[in-house]
Amino acid sequence: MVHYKLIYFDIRGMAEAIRLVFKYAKVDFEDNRLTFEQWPTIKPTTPSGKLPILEVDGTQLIESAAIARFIARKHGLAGKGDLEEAKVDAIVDQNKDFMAQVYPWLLVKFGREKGDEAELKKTKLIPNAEIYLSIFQKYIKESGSGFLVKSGVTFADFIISEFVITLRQNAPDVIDKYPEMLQYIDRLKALPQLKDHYASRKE
Amino acid sequence: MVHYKLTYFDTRGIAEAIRVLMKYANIDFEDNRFKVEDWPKIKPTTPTGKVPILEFDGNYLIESAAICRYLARKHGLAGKGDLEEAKVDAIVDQHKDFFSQSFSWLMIKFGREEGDEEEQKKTKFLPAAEIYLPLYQKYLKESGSGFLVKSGLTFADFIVSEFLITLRLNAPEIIEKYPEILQYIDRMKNIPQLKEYYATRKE
Repeated sequence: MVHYKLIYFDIRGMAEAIRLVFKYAKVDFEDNRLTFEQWPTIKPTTPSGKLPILEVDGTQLIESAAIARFIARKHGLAGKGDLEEAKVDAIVDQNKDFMAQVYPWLLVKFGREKGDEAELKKTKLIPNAEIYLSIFQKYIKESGSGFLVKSGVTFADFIISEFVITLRQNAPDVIDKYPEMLQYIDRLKALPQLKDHYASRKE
Repeated sequence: MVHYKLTYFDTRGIAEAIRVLMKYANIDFEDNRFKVEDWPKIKPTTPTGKVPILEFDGNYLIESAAICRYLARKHGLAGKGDLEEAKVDAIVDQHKDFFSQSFSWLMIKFGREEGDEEEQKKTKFLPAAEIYLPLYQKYLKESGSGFLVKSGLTFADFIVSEFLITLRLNAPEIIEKYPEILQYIDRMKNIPQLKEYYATRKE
């Protein structure tokens, strides 16, 4: 049996979607959570100086979406058929653009960078939330499945929902304007395979 | 036979990797190009207001990397085996980060956005170049194939090489510090199936 070891910090961040894929598919994995103090020593030993890393019987994979897709494809969570797989990939890439636009605000809000939080919230978060959350809500409406694509839950749902949960924690006034997104998150949190994980994890 | 129609600006941009892939794999397609000035008129006629868009058999795909992966999978250009596929996906995601960092600088340089070109180049592009260009050199050195991954040519090569060509045109003093990258660009341009295309296209 393959041994999977996921290496990341003890936070949700960019690894939580991968953890959710594993848990939803009921695949065992070693959830290796590093402290921030350990990171400077470990960083130079990693392929690209970044986390998450997934070790697959010793081979190291990097980049959170690529890792999520790798596990998802083995467990029917990457979309049904080539067209839907391409749609799932497109949604994940659109979310990557959303994250890139919003990160300048988020990093200031987290206190990791200096800046005018209120100004960045207005220029970066609000307009991009309007663009991207409208798109995601449209996908959810059109799919008929309650998730982003027609066949049901895919790794795109875990990636997108984790980011929206983080945004909601930091700007509830903005995110609460998108009720279908809130219902969508609740729907994911109610999935029988994941209910306990969502309820007991540190958010 | 499937009729593919690719719609994008009359530039290389982020569609060129798709064009090159289709030429390499001998896939016939309608190369629907429009002038940048005509975009406001064309935009509402597209399914999602975004390009590139690949239409075929009443379906459409968006997001350049997702489109590349979809076509690549059908033509053995997505990597050999699940681990290498994940490596190809990771390289494409790393490229997207590099591209994001370079985008404003390039848009200002091309006169498509207002701003301080030198400032964007210094604060965003150059630090990213210092991370990603050595990384590509490392991949090229380690693969042994002359391309980014061990098994040979993949869609990651089409995506990454196009961007390196753009960077070489716009910051030659930076790219020319990396001899393996220059050799790599030449190697791509000498692929027999593509030699004539590269030689005659507008760069």
